[in-house]
Amino acid sequence: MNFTEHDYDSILDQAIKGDEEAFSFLYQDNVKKIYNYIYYRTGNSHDAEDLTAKVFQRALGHITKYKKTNVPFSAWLYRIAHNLVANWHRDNSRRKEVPIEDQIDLRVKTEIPEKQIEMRQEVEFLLKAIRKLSNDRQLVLILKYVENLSNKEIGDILGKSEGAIKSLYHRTLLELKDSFELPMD
Amino acid sequence: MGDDKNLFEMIEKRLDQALLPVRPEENYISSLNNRLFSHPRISIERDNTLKIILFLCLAFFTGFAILILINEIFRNGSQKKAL
Repeated sequence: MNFTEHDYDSILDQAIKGDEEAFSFLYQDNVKKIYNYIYYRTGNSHDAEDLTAKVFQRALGHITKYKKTNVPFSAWLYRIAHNLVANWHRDNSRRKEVPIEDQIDLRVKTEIPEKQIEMRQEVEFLLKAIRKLSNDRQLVLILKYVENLSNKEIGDILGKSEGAIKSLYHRTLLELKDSFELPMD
Repeated sequence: MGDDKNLFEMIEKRLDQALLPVRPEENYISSLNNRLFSHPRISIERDNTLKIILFLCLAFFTGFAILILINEIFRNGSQKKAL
C-alpha cells in the first residue's frame, strides 16, 4: 500500500492523539531502520533487539508530547536511539566488544576460505574504525550505506543542509583514511 | 590528487561491503509490536484495611480532643461569670 506524505501526516496526528493503531503503523515503518542503526552502533543483535524495544517503548510513552516540525518522524526515533546507545556505551565501557559475525557470513559464503578470512578481518577492522567516529559521522555512514538515503534525506534527519552533509561525509572519509592504513589491492 | 580519489573510491567500496542492511527476525518485530500495546490484565489490589482503621482512629481522637477543648473553653467562661 502506498502512502502519501499527507496520509503519513494524518497517521502521525492520530498517533499523537494516542491512537495505538496509528503508532503501530509508525512502528512497522521504522523498526528496521532503528534496528539497523543500533545494530551497527552496538555490534550485536542481542543488544540491538533490546535497545530497539526500548526506543519504541520510550517513543510510545512520549508520543503525545511529540511536536511536529519539518523534520521527519524518524529523526525523533533516531535521536531516542542515539541517547539510548550513548547510555549503553557508557554503562558497558568496560565490556569487551563483540564482533559482528552474522552478515559477514552471508556476504562471503561463496568465497574460498582464505579469502573469506581476509575479507572478514577487513570488514571487522573497518567496522571498528567506524565505531570510533563521532555520532554524526557514524549516522551519516549508516544512513548512506545501510538505508541508501541521499544527502538531502540525511540532512532532513540530522537537521542540516545537503551541502553540510556532503562536507560531513567528505570529512568522515578523510578521518577513516587517516584512522587506518587501508590495504591496497 | 588522483591517488586520493582512488583511495576514497576504495574506502567507499569497502564501506559498501561492510555496511549491509541487516534484517531483524520477523518474530521479533511482531512480538515487540504485541508487547508495545499489550495492557496488563492483572491489577494489583492492595489491602487498605489497616490504613482505614488508622484513619478512623485518628479522626475519632481528633474529634474527641476538639470536644474536650470546647468543653474546657465553656467551663472556664461559666466560672468567670460566677466570680
